Amino acid sequence: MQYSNDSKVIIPKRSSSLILSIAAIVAGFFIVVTLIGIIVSSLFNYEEVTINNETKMMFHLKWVESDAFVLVPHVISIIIIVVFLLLLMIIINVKIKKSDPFVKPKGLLLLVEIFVSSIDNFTVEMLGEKLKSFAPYIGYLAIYLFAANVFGLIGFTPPPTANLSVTLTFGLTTFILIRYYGIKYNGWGHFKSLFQPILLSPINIIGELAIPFSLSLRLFGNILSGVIIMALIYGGIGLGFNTLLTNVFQTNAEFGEIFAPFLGFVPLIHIYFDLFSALIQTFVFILLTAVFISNASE
Amino acid sequence: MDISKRLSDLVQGGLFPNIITFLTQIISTLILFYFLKRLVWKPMQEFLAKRSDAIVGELEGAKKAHLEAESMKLKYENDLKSAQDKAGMILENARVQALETKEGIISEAQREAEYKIEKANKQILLEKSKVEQELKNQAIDIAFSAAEKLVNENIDDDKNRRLIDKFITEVGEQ
Repeated sequence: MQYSNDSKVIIPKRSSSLILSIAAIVAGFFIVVTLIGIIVSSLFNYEEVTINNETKMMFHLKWVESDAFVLVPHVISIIIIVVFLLLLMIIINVKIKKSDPFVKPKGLLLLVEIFVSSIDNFTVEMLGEKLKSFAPYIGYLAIYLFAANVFGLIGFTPPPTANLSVTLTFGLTTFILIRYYGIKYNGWGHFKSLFQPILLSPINIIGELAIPFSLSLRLFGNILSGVIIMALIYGGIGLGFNTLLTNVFQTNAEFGEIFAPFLGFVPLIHIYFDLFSALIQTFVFILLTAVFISNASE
Repeated sequence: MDISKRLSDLVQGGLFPNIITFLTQIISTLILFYFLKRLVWKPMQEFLAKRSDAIVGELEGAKKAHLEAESMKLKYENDLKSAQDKAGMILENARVQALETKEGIISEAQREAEYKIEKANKQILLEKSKVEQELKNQAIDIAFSAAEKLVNENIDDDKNRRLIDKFITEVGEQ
């Protein structure tokens, strides 16, 4: 079949590309979930452990019989947050590449612009112009810690920052960065300053070694306390409603907890423990990281 | 109890160090940090730099254009002034020339008039003398014929004519 030379150029419509991208996101999500499932099932053994007449689901690593290799629900939270943030980053990347810098930005792009420029300014203010390349790490901490702290609102799995292993990772990362920049900018003088008044050297050393633990335990404690208080409130309200329903309808009700979010004061408590506390702890963590690193790099 | 079991699960899952969680967190940190830097931070910084460069460029262009306009204005003002001067000079020249021309024309006319008057006077004099001569000739002729009649005989012509001429001249003088 012959086509004429002046055949029309087909321009894809905006709506079709939107549907395509949504389909790609959904397909990507399913592929990621399947891959994670395959990896988990090939690495872990599923077993039901009975302790004190209660059965527990447990995923043990196949080759090691230690509690340190149990799959905890926080890992699932981490994976969900990573996938979600990656999708968000891809969408932002596409939006940045599509948009014209001379048009007033709006929506998501405006938020990203404000976020990036304010984190850049914060980094320059705290660490100086020489460590401006440090800004993406600060930005990563801000995004990830906020997402992880707020994750408790979904109620599916506990927030990752309510796990000491997770917060200890960040604490140790900060510790390593402090040592790295200290050695980079001060050489061996960085370690000499620990023994400056020789009598105080044990206190100095303990103080330096305590930094990762103080950072990680602060975050962990704050978020876990919020989670525990929310669990207590939900449990108490559930118990009350269960008793009420059992006494009124003479049935064995077990679903009292679903009424809790509809009580007026519960969302307020959520705002305090999940949103406000999350924001404050994220900011504190970032601020302390920046302060320690700027002290080390001076 | 239900609540205490859930709380113990929460705390136990989170409190004790767990290698799997640790590794997952480190890997996810690396992945997210890399992609944040690659997909969001660098493009956004380029985006912002492009905009600020454009703004700075536009400001500089505006400054340059302003300076150029200022110099052009000066130049045009000078041009205008010189043009005005030139126009004034041209007008002055024209006036002077017109005056000269006017005077030339007047003097020419006067000269011509004088010449014409003189010529007329000369003509008048000439005519006068001619008429006088004619009159004289006619008088001579009349006198001649009268004398001829009177004498009525042949006389010496030359002699007579001289006599008559003398006579007429005497009469004319009287």
